[in-house]
Amino acid sequence: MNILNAFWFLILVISIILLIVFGIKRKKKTQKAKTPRFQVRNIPALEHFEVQQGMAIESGTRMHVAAGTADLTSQQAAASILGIEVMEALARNSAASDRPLLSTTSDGTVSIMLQGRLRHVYKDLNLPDLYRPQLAQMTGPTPYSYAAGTLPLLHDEHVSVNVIAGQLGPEVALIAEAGRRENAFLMGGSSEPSAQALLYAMADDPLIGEEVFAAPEYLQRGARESAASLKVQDLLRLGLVAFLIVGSLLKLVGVL
Amino acid sequence: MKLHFSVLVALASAAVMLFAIFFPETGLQDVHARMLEWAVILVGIGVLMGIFNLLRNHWQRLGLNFQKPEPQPDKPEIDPRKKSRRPRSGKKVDLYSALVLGGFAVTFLAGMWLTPASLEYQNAVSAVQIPVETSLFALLSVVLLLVGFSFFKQKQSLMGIIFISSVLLFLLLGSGILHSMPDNGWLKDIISILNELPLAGTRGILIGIALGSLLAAVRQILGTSRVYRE
Repeated sequence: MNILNAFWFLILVISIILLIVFGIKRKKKTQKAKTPRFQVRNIPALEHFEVQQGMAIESGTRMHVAAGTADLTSQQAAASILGIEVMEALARNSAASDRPLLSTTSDGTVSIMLQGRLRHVYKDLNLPDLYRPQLAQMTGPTPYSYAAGTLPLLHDEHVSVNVIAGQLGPEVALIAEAGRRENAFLMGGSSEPSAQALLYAMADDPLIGEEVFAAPEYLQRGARESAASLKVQDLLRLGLVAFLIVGSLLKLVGVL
Repeated sequence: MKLHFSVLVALASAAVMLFAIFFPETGLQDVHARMLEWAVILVGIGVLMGIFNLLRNHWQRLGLNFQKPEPQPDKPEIDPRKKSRRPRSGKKVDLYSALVLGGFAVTFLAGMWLTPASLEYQNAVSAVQIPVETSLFALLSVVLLLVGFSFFKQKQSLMGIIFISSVLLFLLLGSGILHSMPDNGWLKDIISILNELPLAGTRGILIGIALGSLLAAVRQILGTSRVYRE
């Protein structure tokens, strides 16, 4: 095993152990006393989003989740998984509304998974009759055709909240601009740095870096494993920051 | 957490794949390759189903519905923000969808007849696809320009000022004007330091994304979140 593989293997093992430990710890706490909640860190964009979500549901308009263009066999598959998780969390909140959540992707497999999870949500909420497969759509197979297919939906489907959560490149600007023309609230983050820069400029509430990966956990607060994963994400980040600083200092003094 | 069959399958598959990647000497390479082949076949079927999904949606937009229509809300729409600038088309017949379906039929039949390996077929498809995508790219550049202006107008906070200043600075650096100036030691040093800044920022963001991706994958493997289960 080369050193890079060994490093990632170590990170993987640590994250699995921490996830299990935090999950069990949380379970014990919940069994002892009902009151304490696993505190997740505050992300202002997601805090504001709760209000926008409520307004969209109350006003009979629709939320849209763009799950992006990554296919499940690529290295960016995690971004699509993120899109599916965000869709599920928001669909739970808006399933019974007049205009339920709409999600789009450019990958066929992801669209099937979006439909599967959506059907599960409706079944889970005892609303199977309200499920419709067209609530999760593949709008185009390439990044630009995906954007082109999504643009009319934002207008015709009465979208008032536009959420970008997945792998999107510069074409995200077209989707964001179309939403803006409909006066839709835009929250989003992408696993692509170029799209992150655009979203920073365009979104009402941008999600920067790993914040976008915290969105599903944040939107379904109280889920034990999810809160544990947020904690692990923060701990690993702090560990890596310490590792980088120590490494730089050692290099500076000539030890490395 | 209840241990479902799907979780066990996911856990076992992930274990095999990870061991094959991290410990190639264990001899799991063949299994790894075979599982990847299965995944590629399944993804291929997924793409086909996605295309059928796409066609069905366009078919419905033509007003030819297979299923019960979505119930329209009785109450009047109250937009939480300002009203939309354009009137909504509602559920009228969308003639663009007819164009999409027609284009698909022609491309599909031509592909079946000529096969995708045919040079004429590839040229014909490219002759349509490339100009359309280039037009979207041109539109994107206009949108980006507008975004730049509106961002400067709307977000006049400290972060906004930093963002705009850095955009202008790196546009200047990227233009190469400073490189054409007479050789100046300290200026070169400053430029090289400044050029490292976006790299450091991008690395920071990418590390965050890598950790987020890792955790998302681990959650799937452990079954605490299951996007693969219906």
